[in-house]
Amino acid sequence: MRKVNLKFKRLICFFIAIILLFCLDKNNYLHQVKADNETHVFNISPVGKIYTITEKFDNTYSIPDNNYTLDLSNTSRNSPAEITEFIYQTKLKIEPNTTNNATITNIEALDVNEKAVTITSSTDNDNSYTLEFNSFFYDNVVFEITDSENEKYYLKINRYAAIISTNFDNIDDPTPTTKKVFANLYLDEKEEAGSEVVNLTTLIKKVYNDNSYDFDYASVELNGSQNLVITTNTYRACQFSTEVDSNVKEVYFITTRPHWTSKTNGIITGSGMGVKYDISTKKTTY
Amino acid sequence: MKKTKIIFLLSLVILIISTLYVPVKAGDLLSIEATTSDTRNIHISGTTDSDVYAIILRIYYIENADTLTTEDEFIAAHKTIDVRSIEVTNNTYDLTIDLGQEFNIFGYNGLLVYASDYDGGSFKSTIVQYINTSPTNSDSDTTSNKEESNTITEVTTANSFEENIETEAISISENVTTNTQNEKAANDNIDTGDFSKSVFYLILLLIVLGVIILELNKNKKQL
Repeated sequence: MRKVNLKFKRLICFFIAIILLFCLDKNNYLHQVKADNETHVFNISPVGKIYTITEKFDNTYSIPDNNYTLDLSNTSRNSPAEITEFIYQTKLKIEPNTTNNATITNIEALDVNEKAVTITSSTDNDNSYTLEFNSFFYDNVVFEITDSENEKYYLKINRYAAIISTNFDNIDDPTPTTKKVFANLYLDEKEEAGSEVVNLTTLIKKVYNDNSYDFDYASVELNGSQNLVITTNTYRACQFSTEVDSNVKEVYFITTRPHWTSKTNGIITGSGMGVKYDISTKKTTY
Repeated sequence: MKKTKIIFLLSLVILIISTLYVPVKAGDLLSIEATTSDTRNIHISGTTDSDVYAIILRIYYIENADTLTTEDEFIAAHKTIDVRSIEVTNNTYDLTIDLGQEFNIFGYNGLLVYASDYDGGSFKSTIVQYINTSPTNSDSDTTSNKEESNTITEVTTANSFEENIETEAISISENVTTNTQNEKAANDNIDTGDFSKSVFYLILLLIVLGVIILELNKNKKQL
């Protein structure tokens, strides 16, 4: 009888141990065995009106791509893979690469209101999902992608209107004597960036080394007496600038869209104070 | 019968077009309130309609408004103190902003808050109201009343220049104007999409009614 009890107790302990193992966060405590042919690659591409931006004011900056094929293995909520898309490209499609064994079962936008991004699964049986951003405010959103093996992947989508560039490499360099930070602002071609009266206005916040700050308007860069603009069939661009010196550590750009006299037409440079540019690291944060 | 078919097809086409035509709808701010008890921490709250995802807030400080004699001086006197955009949750917004320093908001000085839908639409503005939270006694009551009185004066002053300030806030290239007709036109422009959609549905309704009447007449004749 005692032997039976002992066996029974051992069995109970064994089951408890198994249950505990499964209750632990498998990502942290269990080593995942990855098959040799298993991939976690996803394709992200624009949908609807597609903006393929190629024109630039100069070669001091590059324009982000609008199509991506990314391996999202080893991504986490705090360390997602990142892509950057044009802010007017409001609809994006995500689909698993053909090399993937698993399919997408769910996509969720994290840390934003439920209605911020409309996420719909395709009815075309291609396992694609469409993400539609409902406001220019959402310029950086992390998405959690769950696949059919219940694995989770994280993708951060940055959305740009302004690409920041400078006319200097290091703020302490003696030349050029007038150092400028540029906001190369890209817009839908229907916006009035190219008209003689530029309705766009860009406000700047400069943060100094002692953490004090002030606000000013950015200057419109000119080509002779005309505003410096790029005009194509799908997009337009204009260039704003502000002068900086070694006392400035960060510059924020926030741009209001063309508007009527007493009604604004909104903002296009993203959440918070807009686009942040760090002078020393030359890093842009959306 | 042929006529009925054409009308039916036409109504279908209109229905499809009206469904595809999704206007960009700007939202509206419904209310705004801004208070401070220390002239440094500003509590801003308000409500919006359901189309607003986020709002842009801009805080100005204007000093000695009574000494300003021209419109240009008045516009130039508006010093931007803070600009930020925040997400709206359940049609409400509520936040406290630390301005980093105290401001003299009494007499003809004031802090002004402008808020508008991040994606466009109408704006709301208000002057920051001082709320005295210190213990009450006869002396402080007098001070409080005086402050309240001054604040009311500021509101009146600010309102008389309200549209001018907003114009400055959103544009440095346009002429300042308070033409209410322009505002109406702007309203009309923004709401054009909704209006068009309503017209589509009205036409559709009329067509459907027409078809029903035709069919009824036909049946009557047959009887």
